Amino acid sequence: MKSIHVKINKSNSIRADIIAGFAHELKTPIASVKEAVSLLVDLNKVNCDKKTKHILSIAESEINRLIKMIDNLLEISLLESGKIRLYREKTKIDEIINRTIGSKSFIIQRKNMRIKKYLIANAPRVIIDKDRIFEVVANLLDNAIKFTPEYGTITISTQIIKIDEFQLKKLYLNLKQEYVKFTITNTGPGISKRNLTRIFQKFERPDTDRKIRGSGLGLAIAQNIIELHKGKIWATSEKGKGASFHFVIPVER
Amino acid sequence: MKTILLIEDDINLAELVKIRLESHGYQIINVPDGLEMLKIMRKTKPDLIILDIMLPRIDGYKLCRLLKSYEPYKNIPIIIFTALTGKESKIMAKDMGAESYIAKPFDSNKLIGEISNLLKAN
Repeated sequence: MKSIHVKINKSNSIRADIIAGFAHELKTPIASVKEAVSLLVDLNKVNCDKKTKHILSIAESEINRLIKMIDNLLEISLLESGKIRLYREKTKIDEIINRTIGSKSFIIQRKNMRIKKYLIANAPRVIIDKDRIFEVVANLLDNAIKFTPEYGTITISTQIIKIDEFQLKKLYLNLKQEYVKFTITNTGPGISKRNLTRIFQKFERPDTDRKIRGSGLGLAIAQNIIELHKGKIWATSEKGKGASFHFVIPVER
Repeated sequence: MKTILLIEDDINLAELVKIRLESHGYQIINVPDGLEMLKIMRKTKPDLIILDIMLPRIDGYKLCRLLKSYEPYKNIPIIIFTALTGKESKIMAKDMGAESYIAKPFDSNKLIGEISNLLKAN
């Protein structure tokens, strides 16, 4: 039995290496295409007609989308093969939340959305890889923005929780541990019960919209990152009544 | 006019970076590998170096250390071109003794900004 496990892990690791190597190689030609389009835009600012400008701007945004997808692919393969190194430092989660909201301010304004924050005062610092947790929060906020209609509300809150507030069996968290809990709630279409855990799998797309784009890897990556931090991430929802995403990270005193 | 030495083996990327930097008033010397770089080192002294550390056949790390240990080039700022994530690039640059890094695919405004900052500091 043990040797099968070893074989599976080894083949996962080899596969991850192949994917990572390939994603790595893609970066140079993509850098060239990105720069070529960017040069066309920048060197022709004056004598460019509207149609050309429009076409070039589509090229630019699709290239950026492609870059994001490759980065996600690279990240998930490194995470799954255990080759990711966390760079952890003491951080206030509020800092990450505010930074994330700031980075999405343009689209939040454009969709006329309201962001309600209920962050506990003096939350203890958590020891986290800032960039990666930022990635998780940004991904959750991105999803909330995507799935909330215009003029909708997104609520973000933090709490300190102790283990007895949980259904221990479902979450398998450490008994003696204190956690910072992050929750983000949207007023979108909600998630059906059978999909609540499936959405964290790779390449799972929501049961509704083909219009809503994404690589299908964001939540799988988020789950990997949170679990690497010895935390848990999960979703709660009722179809038609919006959805909430939660994650907990242990507080280390 | 400031001169930038670009050590990049991908012909197309090198061409595009050259066009970009020339449009900002810099003179570019492009070499495709470490061997050509060594030949240039004896003839010219650039104001800044951009080094792609993913060169074939030669360890970019070694090249960087070589540049830094060459007396006439000691104080020339080096920007490394990498395909790694931001954090890993930062650590790598520090390890190699490079002054800065740009991750591929890059934002040309960032590249121009870095070059400008490093040249001012000198």
